[in-house]
Amino acid sequence: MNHQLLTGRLTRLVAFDPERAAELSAKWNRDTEFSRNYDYPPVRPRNAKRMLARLTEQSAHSQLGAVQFHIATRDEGQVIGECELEMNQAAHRDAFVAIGIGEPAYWGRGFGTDALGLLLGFGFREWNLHRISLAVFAYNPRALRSYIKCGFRVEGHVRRLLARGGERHDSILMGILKDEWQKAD
Amino acid sequence: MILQLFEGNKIRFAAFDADKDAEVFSRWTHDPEYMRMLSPDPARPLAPFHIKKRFEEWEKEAGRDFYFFVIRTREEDRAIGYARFHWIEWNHGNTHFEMGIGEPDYRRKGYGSEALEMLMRYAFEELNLYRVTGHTMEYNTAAQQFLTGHGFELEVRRREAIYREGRYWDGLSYGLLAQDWQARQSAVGE
Repeated sequence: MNHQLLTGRLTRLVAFDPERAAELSAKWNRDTEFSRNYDYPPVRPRNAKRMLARLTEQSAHSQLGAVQFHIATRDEGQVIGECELEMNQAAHRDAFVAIGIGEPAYWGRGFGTDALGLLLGFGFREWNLHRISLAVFAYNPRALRSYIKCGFRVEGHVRRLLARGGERHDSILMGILKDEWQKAD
Repeated sequence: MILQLFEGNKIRFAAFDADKDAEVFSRWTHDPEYMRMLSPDPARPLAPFHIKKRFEEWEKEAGRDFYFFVIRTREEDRAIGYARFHWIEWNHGNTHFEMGIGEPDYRRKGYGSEALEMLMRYAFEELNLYRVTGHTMEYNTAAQQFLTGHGFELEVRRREAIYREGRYWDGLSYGLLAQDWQARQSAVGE
């Protein structure tokens, strides 16, 4: 049995540490580009202490539901981002992924793609998923290229959903099936 | 009646100390092979923060029946694994247990064997139980040999109960009766 799940070529998936997460998230969310790429709601400056209080609520229990990781560089172990797998429909074995590289020095260099590859492997081999979904914003072409490299296919456009910077942008829905992943891997 | 329940030859049983042990336990959870051999639950690395939280959750669930041992080497006082009785059925005199040697360099060297014997002594001579139940998975041949080597018998085969690496595996349950363990002590010696 192959147990290689958490170590890639450039990155490793490590445990999500709430104390570290609160500090880093507050720092990374100072960059509007990062925040607007990551999520739908209006972006706001974050307070590490309040974030920690919220993260502390989440259980340490292992069953399916949601799992978060921090992304560390493989060699130095520096935490550069975070990612998450969240069950969408357990009976149908479909989950959503979210990923963000928070350290600008690591954008556009393959680190996100490497970490996403690990997360997909985890989803298909440890959660035994049938498909994995994600949403990417049309104004984030770097992420879109990364997801296509990982084997995701565009499944739809939620037209002009996002209103940002005085313009309207699509949210692009993508998906990857288990057998597509197996061929790409 | 001079008898040491927690001091063995190579190892001792200690209480969990969040400040000392959370980091070590966290490191073990980053080893997918260890996690998959230990449990059918989806493998998941835990930060020291969550190790402490999980320990508190277990302690709260178990109430007065909380028996959790950190396995430490006597020579270097290094934490190498843990064991716990996670479900004691007092009315039946049965307990379920789990055990793992998290430090890879301390596997297959007799530390686990000594820990298992100490754990059984505790179950039968301090908790006064009638039997002990252990569980493992079909792909974990080392655990199967380990349990049968210590006198456990295969009792239950839950067919295709576990799905890992693209196929189904059986879940296995083993049992050891107090009288059989006592007989082994007399036969084999201390």
